[in-house]
Amino acid sequence: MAATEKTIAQVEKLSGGYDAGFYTEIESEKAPKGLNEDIIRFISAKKKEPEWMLERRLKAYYHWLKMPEPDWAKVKFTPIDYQDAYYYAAPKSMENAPDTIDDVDPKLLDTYEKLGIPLREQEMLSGVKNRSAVAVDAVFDSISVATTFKKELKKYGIIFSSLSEAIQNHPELVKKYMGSVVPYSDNKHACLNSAVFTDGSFVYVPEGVRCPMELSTYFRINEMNTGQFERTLIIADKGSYVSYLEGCTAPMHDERQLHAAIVEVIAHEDAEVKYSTVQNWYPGDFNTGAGGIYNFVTKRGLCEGRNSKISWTQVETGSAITWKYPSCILKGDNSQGEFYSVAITNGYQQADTGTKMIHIGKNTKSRIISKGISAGHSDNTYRGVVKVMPGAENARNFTVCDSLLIGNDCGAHTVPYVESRNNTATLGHEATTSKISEDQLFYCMQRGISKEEAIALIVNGFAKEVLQHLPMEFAVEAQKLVAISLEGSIG
Amino acid sequence: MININNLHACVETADGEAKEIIKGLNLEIKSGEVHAIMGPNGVGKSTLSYVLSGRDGYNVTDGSVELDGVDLLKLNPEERAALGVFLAFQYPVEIPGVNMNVFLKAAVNALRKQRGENELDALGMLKLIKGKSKELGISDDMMRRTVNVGFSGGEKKRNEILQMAMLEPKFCILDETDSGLDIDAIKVVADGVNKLRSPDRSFLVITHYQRLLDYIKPDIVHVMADGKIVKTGGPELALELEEKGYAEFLKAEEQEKAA
Amino acid sequence: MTTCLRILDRDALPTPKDEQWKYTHLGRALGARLLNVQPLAQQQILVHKTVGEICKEPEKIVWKGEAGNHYQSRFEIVLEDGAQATIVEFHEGEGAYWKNMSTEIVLGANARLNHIRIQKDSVDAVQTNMVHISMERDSHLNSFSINLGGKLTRHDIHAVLNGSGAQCQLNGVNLLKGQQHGDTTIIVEHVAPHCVSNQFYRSLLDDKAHGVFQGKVHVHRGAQKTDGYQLANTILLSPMAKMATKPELEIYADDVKCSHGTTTGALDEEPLFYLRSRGLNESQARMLLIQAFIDEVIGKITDSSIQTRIKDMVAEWLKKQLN
Repeated sequence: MAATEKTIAQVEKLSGGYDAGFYTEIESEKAPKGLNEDIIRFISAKKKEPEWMLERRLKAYYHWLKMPEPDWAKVKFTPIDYQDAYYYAAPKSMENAPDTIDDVDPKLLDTYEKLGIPLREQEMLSGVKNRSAVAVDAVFDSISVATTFKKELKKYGIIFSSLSEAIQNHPELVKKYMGSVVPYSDNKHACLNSAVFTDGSFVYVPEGVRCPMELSTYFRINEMNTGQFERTLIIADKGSYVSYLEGCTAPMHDERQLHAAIVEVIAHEDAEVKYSTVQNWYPGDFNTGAGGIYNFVTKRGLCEGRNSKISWTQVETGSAITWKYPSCILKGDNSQGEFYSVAITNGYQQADTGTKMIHIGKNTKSRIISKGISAGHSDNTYRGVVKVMPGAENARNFTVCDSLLIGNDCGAHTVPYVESRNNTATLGHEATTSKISEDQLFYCMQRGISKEEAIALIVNGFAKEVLQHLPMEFAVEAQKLVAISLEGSIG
Repeated sequence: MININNLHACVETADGEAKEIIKGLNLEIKSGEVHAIMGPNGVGKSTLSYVLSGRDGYNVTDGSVELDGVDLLKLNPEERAALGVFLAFQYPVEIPGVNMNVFLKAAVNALRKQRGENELDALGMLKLIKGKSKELGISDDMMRRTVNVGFSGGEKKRNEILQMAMLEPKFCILDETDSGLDIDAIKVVADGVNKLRSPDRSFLVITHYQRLLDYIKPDIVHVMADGKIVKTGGPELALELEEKGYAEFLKAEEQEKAA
Repeated sequence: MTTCLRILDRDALPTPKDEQWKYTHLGRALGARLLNVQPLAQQQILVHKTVGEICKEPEKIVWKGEAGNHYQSRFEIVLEDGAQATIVEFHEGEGAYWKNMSTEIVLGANARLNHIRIQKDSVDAVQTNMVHISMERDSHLNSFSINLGGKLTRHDIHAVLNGSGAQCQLNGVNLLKGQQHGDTTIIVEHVAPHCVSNQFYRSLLDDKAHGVFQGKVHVHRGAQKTDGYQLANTILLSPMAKMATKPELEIYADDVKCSHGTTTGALDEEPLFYLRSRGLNESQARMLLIQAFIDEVIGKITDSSIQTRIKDMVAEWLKKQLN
């Protein structure tokens, strides 16, 4: 059942607006369907994990069984049947980890190539894609296919690998930091991930090192009925800097698929981590809402040390349901947290996304810029918490949340929670909701620009404050994605 | 060039009712001519500019508008733009976050595409923008800013003229381009327009005051009142209007008609 | 989720599950003693203006509280089409009591109501007040409330704009000190198009006071041309005071203008410095600025004599707290 390039191209054509909707025919090894202790033991054994890791998984699993699902988000969906999914799927060819990129199944490499993610270092360096070098960890269903530029990065003492490898090679770091920002008991989705996570990326940047290139992980869900439960752990030691990108896509399947990930970021004294996401999971059928990814993600950063900084930038265009609140715990004095977000919903998508900024240390600062765009029959909610603890002298927060409605069948909602327990703190929140201005549309059209293009132009302008925080290579892609996501939003 | 025949047009009011603003307007502008329409506030001058350029909410109930024999009224705004209709807005619209360069590129290429020409690449575009903006004394800094955001009144109007120069229209409507400008700014704008005058390009200059016409010399001047043109003459008509004021002028006209 | 409560009885106190955010622990505030008091017979006051009736003079209504009582109070204001009235509602009392109110405001087409609510209950009292407002076409409500008293006060306001052209102004100030807890929860539902709603609340919290503001503008599908605004500003006067704010927008129509803003913090340093550079001492300057902060809301009251009276109340409170 080998798929030829031709059929892939055909499928791609059929997928219309969603370019990443093709499926790679590949022989896959799966765990039996369903979730129980045996499955967790199976995953752990597949990964040849040490005993302590298995214990952690099982502890999380038994806690998960007792946990209620979070029900406060403004999203509606049929309850998840956790027994009707696969929790582990990996290409057969990956059973024995390939030594070099040339040993990797070409079909896998082709998949990434088609997605615009070349995995051969020399190709990237020779500038085939006309980009600056980006190191990539490519995760395919439950397994990391390849991680590029590892050797180059090692020269700087930077560890960039799949999490599975890190558990083998750097157990002391994983043991210390994993679960320190997002404990397994945090919420039901995070708890599930803690029990069944399969792969993900691990980054450690040593003291004083400025990472010389962008690091990135590209997540791809391929198999049907398969959940992806990846986990990312980023540690920036004192005075270091790293910029990390994350991209995700999935084929178009009629069944809903669960993606419950965890990202933990730790920034020590004077360290800075910039985390960018372009999320383009399959959003489900445009006209019926069938299928699509449930994107239930817990992302949290800890500004552990003084003067540390964590910045989240996200462009959320995909997924049937997005439930995601990249947050910062501002523990170190003078630490800073930032959240820049563009969320676009169209068709029958539902997004409930935002951030939490918890001010604990003195002189901590946070900044939130959120731009929501709703079209079609979608619902788009910004939900954010800003909390100032009693010790956070002179804490500062500034929040702007703007929503844009395109059409009369969608919804835009803003739910900020602002709590202050320190009278020297200053918190400001502003939000507006409006439609695309007729004046702006007419102005563009009078200059010859079509209505659809004008909307894309205006929406990109509306989101610019956020998009400009993306690394250059991503910004262009993101702008195109904004335009594509809005296709079909006008009659 | 442009032929407007017995044009009637309505505007939707806030209560959703249709109110007739243009009431049987006739106008013919030949290639290379500059016509001015003058008149007091509220007679339908701006409405006319929106009707000609095809804005939503302005509905034509009778009459016809043709540009070089093509029925404009059937076309949407971007198609009219492609045919060569350009409106310099009285209040140029701010589009936050959209860079001037990006906007101009989108517009120029959209028009080229509609006209069946090749799209310009980034370099070609940059050259075009540089050349045109230099002619109009527009700084590079202004081109890096977002469309009309934070522009002064003069900058906004100069920006309109820049776009006019770049999009190379056939028929330009200037809607109260002088409003809110001081004399120096009016001169700059008028210079820009004068440079664009050519035998195959016509202009319709809508203005409240005569002073713009000191700098953009019209071939023909029309006076508009209550949705139609009530008098047509040469440039001297503008001076007469300025001297008498609209009220007296219109009164005199009425008396003349009655007699 | 912002949910408004219905009228409470002791068996129907909200639980943390009912109120996922900012749970108001009424049971604790009431204590076993008040919880077990049998409510007195329901007190009811009805203000009813018939079609076109115009009342120029403000009407004053006083609700008193006595120690040890549990009141079930019902206040109804009905203005028929075109009627106009100004109602001043005054709350006072002594000792610990529970005033459990329900307020119903019904405005017919073109009705005009100015509603001023002065709450100076005893500092040991608990007041819960469920307000339901329904507004027909082109009716105007200008409501102002000042909260000074009560150990725990809680206002749940649920306004429904049923008729197009309705305008609903909900303004208020909270001046809380000691261990007072003041909670305002508002839902404004724009059901009809072309309506305007405005929420404007300012709070001063001193000592260990605790303020909560939750406001929501809900624009239903089809409620086009809605203007909905919320503004909630708080100044914390003491290091132990705390404020929780949740302004919410839920919007299902595209041709709307909705916005909200909140600020929480200390006094701005810049105007403080400006005034001191003009010769005022620090406490004078602070007093002036804080007064101006509150006066801006009071300025929304149309009746000037009521305005003056409330300004005096605020000045008195500030004098006590700031000196």
